Amino acid sequence: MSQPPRIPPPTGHGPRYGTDLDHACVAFESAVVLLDGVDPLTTEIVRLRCARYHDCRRCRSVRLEAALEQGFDEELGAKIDRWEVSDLDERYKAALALTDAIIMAPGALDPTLRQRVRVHFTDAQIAEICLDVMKWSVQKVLVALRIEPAAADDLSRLTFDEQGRFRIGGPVAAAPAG
Amino acid sequence: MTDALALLRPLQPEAADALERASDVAAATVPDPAVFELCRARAAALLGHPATAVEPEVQPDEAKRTALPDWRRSEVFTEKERAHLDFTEQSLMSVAALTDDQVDALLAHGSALDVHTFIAALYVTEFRMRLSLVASAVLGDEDREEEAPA
Repeated sequence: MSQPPRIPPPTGHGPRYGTDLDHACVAFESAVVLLDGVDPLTTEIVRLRCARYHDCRRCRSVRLEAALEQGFDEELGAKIDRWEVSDLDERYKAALALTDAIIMAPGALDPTLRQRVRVHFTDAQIAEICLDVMKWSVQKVLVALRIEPAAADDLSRLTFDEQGRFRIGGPVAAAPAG
Repeated sequence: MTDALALLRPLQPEAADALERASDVAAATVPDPAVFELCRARAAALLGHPATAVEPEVQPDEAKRTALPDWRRSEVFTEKERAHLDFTEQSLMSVAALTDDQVDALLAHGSALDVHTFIAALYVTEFRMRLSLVASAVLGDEDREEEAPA
């Protein structure tokens, strides 16, 4: 469903509207995406959980190229929405449990969450996932104002350059049948 | 509960420094600091984040502090404050369910850039609180009883 922007979209050089806060937020986002202690598949699963929860049209329309190269496909992606009852690897479930705790109910945590994530991730990785969730959730600012149109009609590839700036590239090849 | 920066900085120092800078810029550039403080306090209450000390010049008066938990039925808040509180509550619960009317209500009291800056500041502040709550549980020292200042 098409939803028009609620304020005029940014048109300048950016980032976004070019305010001091936009610059500071993008600097934070760039610092986070350059962290590489968590594997791209886990990163992509966390990113898509945030994208679907916040209903970011742009973020839902892209796939992290590094994750695609590691085997991420739509069959795996389809399991994210009902991850608790899926057959996703427990490592991914732990990352999603941490994600949901942050974006849904940070004040009412499952007492088993600590143990669950520490089985699969180091403290540095847990910190990275926490920061990833915050970084991906910048979508909330865009979604609130509906200035996040989908990248294209089909899924597109998402990459980040050496400064942590995102690039939306060509289409994701269709998954092979079977 | 320990502030997110204290927990994250030893593990991811550059990202934590960038988060701190974003927090500082948010506080310094939010269009109406007094209104923002009301929204921050309401967000903290809804998220379960403990209250923190604020600058005296943006501290809401006693009547507003007392009425904040039931602000919808209180008469002490201005239309501007009510619009921003309503937006804050909805954004916290589900940003996707925000309506055009809720954003228009903010635009009735500020420019598009003011509204964008308020929403961006809310995002930074909200998520620092979210990370503080969760990181304290999964990274914090389970044996430590006293709280570090937020």
